Amino acid sequence: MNLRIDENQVAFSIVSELKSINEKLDRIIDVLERLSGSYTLMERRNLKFGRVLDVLTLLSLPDNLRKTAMAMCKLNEATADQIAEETGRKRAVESSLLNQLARMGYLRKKRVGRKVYFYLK
Amino acid sequence: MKVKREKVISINSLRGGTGKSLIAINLAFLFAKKGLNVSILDLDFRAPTLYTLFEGELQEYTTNDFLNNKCSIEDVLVDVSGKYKLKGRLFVGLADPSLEAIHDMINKDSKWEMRALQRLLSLKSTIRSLGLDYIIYDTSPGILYSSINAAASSDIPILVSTVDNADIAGTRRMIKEIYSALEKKVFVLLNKFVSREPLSESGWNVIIRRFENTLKSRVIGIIPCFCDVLEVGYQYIFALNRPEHPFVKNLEAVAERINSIK
Repeated sequence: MNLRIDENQVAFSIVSELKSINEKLDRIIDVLERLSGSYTLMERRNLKFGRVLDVLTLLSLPDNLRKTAMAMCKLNEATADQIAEETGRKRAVESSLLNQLARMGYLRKKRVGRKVYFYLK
Repeated sequence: MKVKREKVISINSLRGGTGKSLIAINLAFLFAKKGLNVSILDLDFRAPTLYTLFEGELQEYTTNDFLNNKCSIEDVLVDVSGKYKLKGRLFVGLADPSLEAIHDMINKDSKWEMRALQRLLSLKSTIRSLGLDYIIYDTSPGILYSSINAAASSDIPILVSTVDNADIAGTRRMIKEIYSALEKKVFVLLNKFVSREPLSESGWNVIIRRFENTLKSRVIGIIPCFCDVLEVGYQYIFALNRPEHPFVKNLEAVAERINSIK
């Protein structure tokens, strides 16, 4: 029997597998951070009390973080995928920057099903 | 087919008295006269100006209320196109001129300012739903939360400056430290320019290039200083009452350049 592979279907399946891998990686990073107690005293303080992402704070951030932070201001709550779509950068880059902003206390993280959402306090 | 612009223009300056509000109002009227749909919002909460011109239009809700999340932007906007017989639609959103409101806005904390920025960013979707071509923000001069929020949420940030050394140096610093950091391509409008002799077109171009080199930004226009414009102030609208005045002609050229921005 001659089986014809639908290229679109294959591409769709690869993208969906990659998304699933990304979500798993997010969960692993999250668990590792908690287990290793890798937060510094300042980071723990930031996480507890939070910091505000106003426009003057935005201006004080390094360029790469500012772009992500600005996109968060626009979307208010978003996954790394949605921020990547907004900034035009890679999802992995945005995931790392969002986690950095969360460690600095500017964002909070929550898990809804398999997805990690970042949001402004 | 009508070209969709759907852009937010912020008009800011380093110092007060550069003619920012007068330019914002007249630009809004020029766009509406041409058939475009425009909204002008007063975001100068320390010294609200637009209510002077539209005193009879002061609504229950103001731009202060919109940023305080007490109402939608539609509650703030008043359609004045019928009153002025404009081809397009012109909506105005006034700031609360009361002392109490000014005091309230001065004392806002950084968390409120963060939410205010988000409210302004959300206006991008309002442009579409209201069928607007432009929203124009008239902001407070200087480096204040409200003016930087306006710049950060705009597509076409315009800095109005006079040509005195202090103003040019400060404007250059603002472009470098604020607008570049926000990745905004800023346009400078030089106002109240005094020339000892009439200039030819090439003479104007030489002056524009000189300021563009100094400011490292595009100069979108130079408007000469006109005593009668300063004298009239907000008594009437130059764009409507004195359409042949060189102040209006210069602004028309600026409006055309804004329209050509992609």
